[in-house]
Amino acid sequence: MGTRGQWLCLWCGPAFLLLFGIGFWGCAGFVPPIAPSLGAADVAAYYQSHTTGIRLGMAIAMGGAGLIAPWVALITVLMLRIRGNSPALAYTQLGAGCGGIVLLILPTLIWEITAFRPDRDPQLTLLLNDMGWIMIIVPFTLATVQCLALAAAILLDKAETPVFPRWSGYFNVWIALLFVPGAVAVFFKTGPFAWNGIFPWWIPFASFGTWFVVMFAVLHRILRRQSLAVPAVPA
Amino acid sequence: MNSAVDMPLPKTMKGHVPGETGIWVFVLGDMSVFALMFGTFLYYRALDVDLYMRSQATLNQNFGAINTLLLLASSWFVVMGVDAARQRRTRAASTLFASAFVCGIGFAVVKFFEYHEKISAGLTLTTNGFYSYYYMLTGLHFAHVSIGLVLLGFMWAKSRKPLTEAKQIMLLESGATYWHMVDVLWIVLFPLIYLLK
Amino acid sequence: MTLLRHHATWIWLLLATVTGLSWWFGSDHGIHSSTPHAGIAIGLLIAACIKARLIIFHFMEVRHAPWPLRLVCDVWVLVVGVSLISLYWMGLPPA
Repeated sequence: MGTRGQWLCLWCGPAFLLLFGIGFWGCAGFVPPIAPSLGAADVAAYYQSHTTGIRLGMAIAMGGAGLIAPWVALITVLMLRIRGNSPALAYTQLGAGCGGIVLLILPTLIWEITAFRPDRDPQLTLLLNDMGWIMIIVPFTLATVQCLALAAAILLDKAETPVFPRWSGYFNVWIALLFVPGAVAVFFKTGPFAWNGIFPWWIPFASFGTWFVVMFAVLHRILRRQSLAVPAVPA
Repeated sequence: MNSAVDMPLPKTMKGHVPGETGIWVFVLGDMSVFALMFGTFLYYRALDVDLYMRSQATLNQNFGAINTLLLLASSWFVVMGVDAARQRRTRAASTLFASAFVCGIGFAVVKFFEYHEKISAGLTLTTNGFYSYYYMLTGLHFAHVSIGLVLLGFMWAKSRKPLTEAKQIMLLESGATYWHMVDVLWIVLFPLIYLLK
Repeated sequence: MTLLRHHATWIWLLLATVTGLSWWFGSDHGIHSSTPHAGIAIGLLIAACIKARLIIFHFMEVRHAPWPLRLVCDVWVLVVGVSLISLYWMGLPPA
């Protein structure tokens, strides 16, 4: 069995991070987020002065988000290799991961809509802006379930040489918990628990990036080992 | 994360890592995030000391202190329980883990009364900055306590039979490490939120 | 066996005593005042760090661990202690 396809899937992870970073951060200037404390006039002014950047940036970010699909598929395939484990966990990870993509694409589309007619009634712009931010920050559950399913599969691997290193299971439990505080963002418009505060935004934002970087290293090692082990002749 | 925890220990490094090596990725990661939360709490407190002091005065410090003692006792039971399991004193081990579990339940009961008292007084998550932190920090810690109670129950069940394999002892040590971490976090949280003048 | 038993029990007694003292000084029994009291506050934070280190090293048994883990744990205690005390200091009214 050739592993080229798997290597391709692996590199989709960093490619996603790069494209999403360029679009979301570089073009749209959404890092740090538009403050939830801003009034309608200020929010509308932001969309009016950053119209092109947001339109272009969201298109790039949305394009990048699709690349999570092959990345999630790669993790699923490697999870299915864990012997003596029900495939249910791998499929949970697959389903939650793909659902997560939708939760990244939907907010980018809503921001596209917001920037489509930036001269509309500022109250409507405010509403759309709220929708985009709350949609990307509050629903932690898919990311958490995805990480926990992966963690459970890794920790239940009883093989002498497990497919994933065991520490990466504990790492995923940790990351899974870090997304949860996003849910409280609906209660606050200022301070550390608002959607631009440290708990719903900065910590999940950092752990999202960290997850990709660490999992890239883990997957890379698994693929390299298996490339060495698998004979060149197709089985 | 720390790559040192992944690698097998070089021969020159003497010592015994408590529990499974990998669990330290979680423990140290979690402790770092809580440290960050403690830091930002004091940062926001510094911006409005008066409000934080006035709000703190409404807390019931006795609840906090009793809970500290309960967690400390629970941790001590777990230390003794792991020690007993290592020496195959099965009865002692399971009794000790059960006692640790009971102390943990005690913590939860006190927390329930404490939250009840606060919420009936109309003090909630959105009352002010201090109360946001109070509920978030104690709430997240309580989530850790709940996970820990499940683990303690699991450890109790395991310890009822003699543990002969090193792997089983390691499992107990991993659970113990987690539970002590929950204790450490409360030890810093308690003076920070309840007592600081 | 008895040695370790006694050892952890002594540590526990020490922890409980420090908790009792913190409780006394931190609640209103000690000092009747609602103004900041830097001496007590910093004392409480230092006591908390010492307690945390006692639990990590004696209950978690990190004192028997390889040096990198001992180092990381000590760094955690130190960073938490220094940053909490400095951040508290930041909030004191100018003298």
